[in-house]
Amino acid sequence: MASVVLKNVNKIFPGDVKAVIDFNLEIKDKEFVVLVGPSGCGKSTTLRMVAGLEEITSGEIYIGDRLVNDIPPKDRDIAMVFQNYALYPHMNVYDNMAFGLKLRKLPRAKIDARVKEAARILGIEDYLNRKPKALSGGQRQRVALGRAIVREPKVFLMDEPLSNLDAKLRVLMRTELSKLHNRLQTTFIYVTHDQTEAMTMGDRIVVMKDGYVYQVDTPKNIYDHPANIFVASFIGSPQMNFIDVKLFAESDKLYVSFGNAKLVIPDEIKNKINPSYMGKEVVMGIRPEDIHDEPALLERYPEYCFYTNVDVVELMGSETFLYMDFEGNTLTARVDPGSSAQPGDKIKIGFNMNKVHLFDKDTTNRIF
Amino acid sequence: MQNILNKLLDGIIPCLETKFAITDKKGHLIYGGDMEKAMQSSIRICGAKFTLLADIPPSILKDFGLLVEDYINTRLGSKILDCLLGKENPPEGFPFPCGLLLIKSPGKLEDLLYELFKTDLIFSMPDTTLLVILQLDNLNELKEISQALLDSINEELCVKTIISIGRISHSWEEMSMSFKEAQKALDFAPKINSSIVSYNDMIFERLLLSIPNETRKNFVNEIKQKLDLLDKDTRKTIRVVLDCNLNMSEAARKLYIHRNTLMYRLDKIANSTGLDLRNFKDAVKMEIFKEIQ
Ligand SMILES: Nc1ncnc2c1ncn2[C@@H]1O[C@H](COP(=O)(O)OP(=O)(O)O)[C@@H](O)[C@H]1O
Ligand SMILES: [Mg+2]
Repeated sequence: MASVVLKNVNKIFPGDVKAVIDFNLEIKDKEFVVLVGPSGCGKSTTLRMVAGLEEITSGEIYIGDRLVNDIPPKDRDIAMVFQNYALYPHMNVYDNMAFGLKLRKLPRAKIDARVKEAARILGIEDYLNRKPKALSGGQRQRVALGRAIVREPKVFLMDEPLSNLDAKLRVLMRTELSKLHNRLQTTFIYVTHDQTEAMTMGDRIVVMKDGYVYQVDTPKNIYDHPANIFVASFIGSPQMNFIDVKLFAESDKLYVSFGNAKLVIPDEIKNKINPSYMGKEVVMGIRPEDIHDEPALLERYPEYCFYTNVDVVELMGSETFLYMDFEGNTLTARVDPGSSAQPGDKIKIGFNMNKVHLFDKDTTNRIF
Repeated sequence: MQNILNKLLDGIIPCLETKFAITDKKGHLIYGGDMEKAMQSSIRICGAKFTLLADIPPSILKDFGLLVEDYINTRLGSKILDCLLGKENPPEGFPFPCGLLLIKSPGKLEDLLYELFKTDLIFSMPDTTLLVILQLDNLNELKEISQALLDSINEELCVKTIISIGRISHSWEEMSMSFKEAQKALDFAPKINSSIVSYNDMIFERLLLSIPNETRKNFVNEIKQKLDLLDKDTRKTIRVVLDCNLNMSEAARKLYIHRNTLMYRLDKIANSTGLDLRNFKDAVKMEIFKEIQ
């Protein structure tokens, strides 16, 4: 149980590889924070710096109230769960979990109590005498977690711990890890390149790219108010649609235009937009689920509607994806499976303009 | 094993009045004669369990076991090492199938290794390197042990460590070969930036490193000129595609781009450099470039 603070942390590898740039974050005690971003963006390096496995080039890292820059990993009160969870094949589950504590010369009774408690929490009490090769992938992963839990660390650091599991098990383990976090009441820092994993597990998410932090917020805020085009495009599947539009005012109303389409911006959003953007080109983002083709809805909001050509219709069971072309822009919509759209159709669609996102074309930052 | 134990124990037998025998895990006799109504006690020789049989009361059997165990372990260890290093001619027969690890680390690893393997076959070598000989007959097991060991060293000591895995040996010749290969692999390790190496898994790397400097420079320059035409993102695309073993879907996912976008980028690369990652030979060229540049 401890807070973790990173202040202006930088990591430059030999050869001037800037892996992490001016990283600032305050992680609260007991918080579950997820670092997410495409491969090579600096997630693992950041985590390894917190662990002490990687020296920091500049900046400060605190665990609890303690500056840990010069404190070796084993004295940092952290436990790390690696991507390739290796277990000792010649030792049974119990000994694999107990090994770290034995090295630390803990009394036998204390080791026993901790291993049994961890096994209980993880539901692996029945396997304690088994050798790793007699375990399934999910059970092995639990033992790896057990090895971390018995240390009773103040902070858990996990680097893509689920990436070696098959898809089904991965989904299951996500839930288990969330439950584990609740039970242990300890700070978790979790690294993944999978945005779904980040969105379902984190109290807060840190979105990174090329060594920079692009946004830190709750999953909901990140989804509803992405701070820039990168975050908007990275989070959400299928990806958000982006269209270059022009913003302009006409008889007290604000509009966006692109091609021959002209859609009105609701007043609530209009009031938040800096007037300097009037008449300018901006990037409009709209999520696939905010594009509609239900006739009743389209009739109610005629000023949000226009015509497009349907290229592909993908039936996904509980939903349908429409891939459309509008004057060279590809648009993806997630619509009701009852939709009657067919490839080749010209159909009327509507944007839920209360849900649009607008970004500055140059800075790529959100403008409201 | 039998042969070696006989030789070793010949030294103390005259001083002992107690007759005893030793059997391995499977019950095969490896020392002494038939001892029908003897008491049994478990002993550890070089990290593996054996059974000691002797016709003495249980109260002293335990201590006797420790004595025998200690006598064998201290002598067998140095005997094996001397044979391995060529300081002594190996006796007939090989003690047990075993794998070896060379561990190069500035950390004090002896306690950790002893706690882990309970064996005396841990030897200091020059250049902060430890040699560990493990009784086992399965290379995969040895590889798993190495990975877990590296994790433990990272967690407990956090010192830059390289583990070189030798092959499993069943004879003195194999063992000495395995030792030499492990040493070579250990020397290679920094060049390929790897923490765990195994000589026999490094054929490709060894081949590349044996290319003369001049030839290598020419090849690197030739490819580099082409790749320099590309921007940083595109070069990264190549690296990720190679790292994903040319699995395009996985590469697209890692790069966080649509598969079609990836195909488009590969077209672009092919157009401007003449190298197409979807063509196996071109992919090999780029992999070689990545390895030796
Ligand atoms: N030991 C190292 N030496 C040089 N560069 C490194 C090293 N480790 C990582 N990098 C580089 O730092 C960047 C971030 O790497 P990493 O933190 O592993 O990314 P992620 O975990 O987000 O995929 C990458 O460009 C990577 O190539
Ligand atoms: Mg990583």
